[in-house]
Amino acid sequence: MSQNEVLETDVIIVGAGGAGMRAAIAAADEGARVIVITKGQAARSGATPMACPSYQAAFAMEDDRDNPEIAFEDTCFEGRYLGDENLIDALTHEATDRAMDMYSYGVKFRKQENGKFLQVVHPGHSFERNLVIMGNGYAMAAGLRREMLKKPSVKLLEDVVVTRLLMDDGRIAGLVGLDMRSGNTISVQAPTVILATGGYQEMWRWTDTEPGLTGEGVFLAYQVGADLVDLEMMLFYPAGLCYPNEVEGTLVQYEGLLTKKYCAGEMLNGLGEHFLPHTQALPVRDVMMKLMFREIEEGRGTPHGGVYIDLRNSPRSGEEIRAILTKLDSLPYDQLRDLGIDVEKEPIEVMPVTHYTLGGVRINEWAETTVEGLFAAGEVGGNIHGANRTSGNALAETQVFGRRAGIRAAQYALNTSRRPVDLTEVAQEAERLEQFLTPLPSGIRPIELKRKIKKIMHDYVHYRRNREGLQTAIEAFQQLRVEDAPRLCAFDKHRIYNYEWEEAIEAKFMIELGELIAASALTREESRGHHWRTDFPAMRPEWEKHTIVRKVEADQYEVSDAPVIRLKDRTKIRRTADAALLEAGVLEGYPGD
Amino acid sequence: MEVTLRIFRYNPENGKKPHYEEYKVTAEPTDRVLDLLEYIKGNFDGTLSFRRSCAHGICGSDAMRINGHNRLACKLLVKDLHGGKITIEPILGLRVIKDLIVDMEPFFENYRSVLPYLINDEPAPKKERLQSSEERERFDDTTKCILCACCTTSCPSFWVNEQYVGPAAIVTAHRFIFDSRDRGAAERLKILSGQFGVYRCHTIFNCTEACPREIEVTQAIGEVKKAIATGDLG
Repeated sequence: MSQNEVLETDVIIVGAGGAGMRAAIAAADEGARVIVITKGQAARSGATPMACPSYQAAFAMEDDRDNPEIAFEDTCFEGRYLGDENLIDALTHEATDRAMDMYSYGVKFRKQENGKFLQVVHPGHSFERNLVIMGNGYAMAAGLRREMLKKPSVKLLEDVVVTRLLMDDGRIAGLVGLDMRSGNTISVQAPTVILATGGYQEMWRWTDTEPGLTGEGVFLAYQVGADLVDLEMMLFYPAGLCYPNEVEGTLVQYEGLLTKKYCAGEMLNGLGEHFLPHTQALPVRDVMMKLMFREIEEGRGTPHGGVYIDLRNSPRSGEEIRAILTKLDSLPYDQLRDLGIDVEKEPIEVMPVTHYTLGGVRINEWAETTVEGLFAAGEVGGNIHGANRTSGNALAETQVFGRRAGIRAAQYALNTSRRPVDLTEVAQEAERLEQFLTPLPSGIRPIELKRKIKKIMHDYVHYRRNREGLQTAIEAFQQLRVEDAPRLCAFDKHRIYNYEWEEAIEAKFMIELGELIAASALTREESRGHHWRTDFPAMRPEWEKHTIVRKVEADQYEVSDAPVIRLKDRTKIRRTADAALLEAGVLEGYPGD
Repeated sequence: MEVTLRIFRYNPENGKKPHYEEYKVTAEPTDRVLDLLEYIKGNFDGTLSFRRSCAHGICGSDAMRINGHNRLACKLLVKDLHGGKITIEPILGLRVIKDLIVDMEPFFENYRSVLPYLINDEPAPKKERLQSSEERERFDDTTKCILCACCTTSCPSFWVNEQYVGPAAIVTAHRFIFDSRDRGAAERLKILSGQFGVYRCHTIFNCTEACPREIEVTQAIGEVKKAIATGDLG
């Protein structure tokens, strides 16, 4: 492909995980021509292949009291009433149909003896609700890929990093990317772009996700003027391994290991003491995160700075545990076995790790962003779950909003004219990318810069935050932007599969995004869900609103706020927190009895 | 412990011939080979290119030839290599693009040739196409495939002729041929009985040895051969 060639299509989808591939299927079914661009390979990069097998869908196959309305209330409450209810409504009411779509693509769900789907209860669910995907997220992604590639109107471009969205008169005109296989830039013209790029967990040091989740989708949207929402909300999953070091962050599904109905293991602090409050159900993630970090912080952690998950006192036999873990398709078991860790015989050390990006690009119920022609589906979207997410809603979200984005983008594209692509802008972008290949005597490698970024996020924008720290972080990012970013260059100037080039592109965006995240966190002067401010430890009713980040000029952004979209009167209909959790002192300001 | 890695290097842009380079690193016995590659890339030589994504043995990106055996770099621990020098090369039989990255396109072309999706034109029942646990069990093993290409690129028959669909494509075909809901078996068996189908397999078992998911690959191929011969999908 020559450098100057411009490809043309109706819908461009950036990202080939669950949301991107579902969007491609939907857009193709609407009659649109689709180009799917992914910086890795479809179904073998990004978050979906690594996902746990949980897909939330209120089929009520285990307990007939369940229904989508209860799932809706569960999601609103556990999101600390910060999720937009029109989105949650779509999510919880359509998740079942979308599960059946996947089923028709050959994705299998584990079944009960009677032939109905097995549904398991996870923290935050009123009833057994999660489907168990046989073969985990990988099998789901593989099924979606198979279905997507059946569509002749879908073209897949792998190993292409999208670096810039192109605009014309306030509307999407196309995009520019770097093709890793050839080392050349490519541009695509289309009236719509669907971002399905996932989150930005990789900004932090401890993460259970793959290293490609660097958040450029969020930043690309910001660059063309889209609203970003609740960027400060990063979900810390309670159980990533903290030892051995080389597998730091590997996710261990705590739900299956600790729930009484399943493996019935215990969570203990470094002194071997129980520290979880006595509640009916296992606490949800934001509460677990706070309880665990409190133990570690107050000197009751394990030798490697975590807490224990211990199955040795489980009433279940080793055989039963293995059978349960198999039935639940519990992800880490094989991995732990490879490492020589036997979860039945020895306690494992775990700590909370970044797991899911709650914030992101602001969308409406049809996955439209605030920029015409630009859509966002899946984790990159920011106002669905709120301040915490229940298990199973992420995979459901990819399908519900992937499909909605695909349909709406196709309809829009087929009823609008193409926008001209500004070739000068394309050339400018190519030149910008070229600079990363120009060796500098005082050059800084992307890997070094990423380490610095991770350190700032870890030190100041981690699970506990305060004004002073967040201001330090903002200054540190500003300093990186001035002093380090101009020196950023790849180790070597070869072009084909030069991964350092890709990392340089990512690192540049991460500096900018880091500042926006810190600025959002600084603005939200309360603690809610996964946003934990030591200087504002309580949840404050007046902050039950979104933080919004918007670009105003080249290097200028503003942080404002916006109301949460309601379908119900939350002054009247509102659940209260569990008394035992309130007593444990980690839910300050949460309404109780 | 100190280990030496001997890594295949090729850069199409620097005019040098493919060659091996050696790196000495200090490793923990529980380090994975992938950790060592990351270490080398991060500290010694940023030009080293290899694919990776999840690092958990799930995504199948980092298949490579390690001491002569196809393995996922993220699943192989240093202690299991019993010291000495670790030789790392790209998987065989596919064109090397750069260092440890090969052109996977012929592999995926073969995969696509066996119609890797559910085929069933009968009108969909109201609720779902039912399947019993036993019927599901029939193809359980081959659902585990992650298309890492460890099997196909360990197969001497594939090395000889990359038009041979190879073990991975047959495993995928198996997954559908023996699925009670699928109606495309005849079509797939016809493809696989052709010139580049199952009869290129000489039961060498390299594929089974290489599979990081412990799929009984050779057995699956055998079952497909038998189905072609007998027309029986039992």
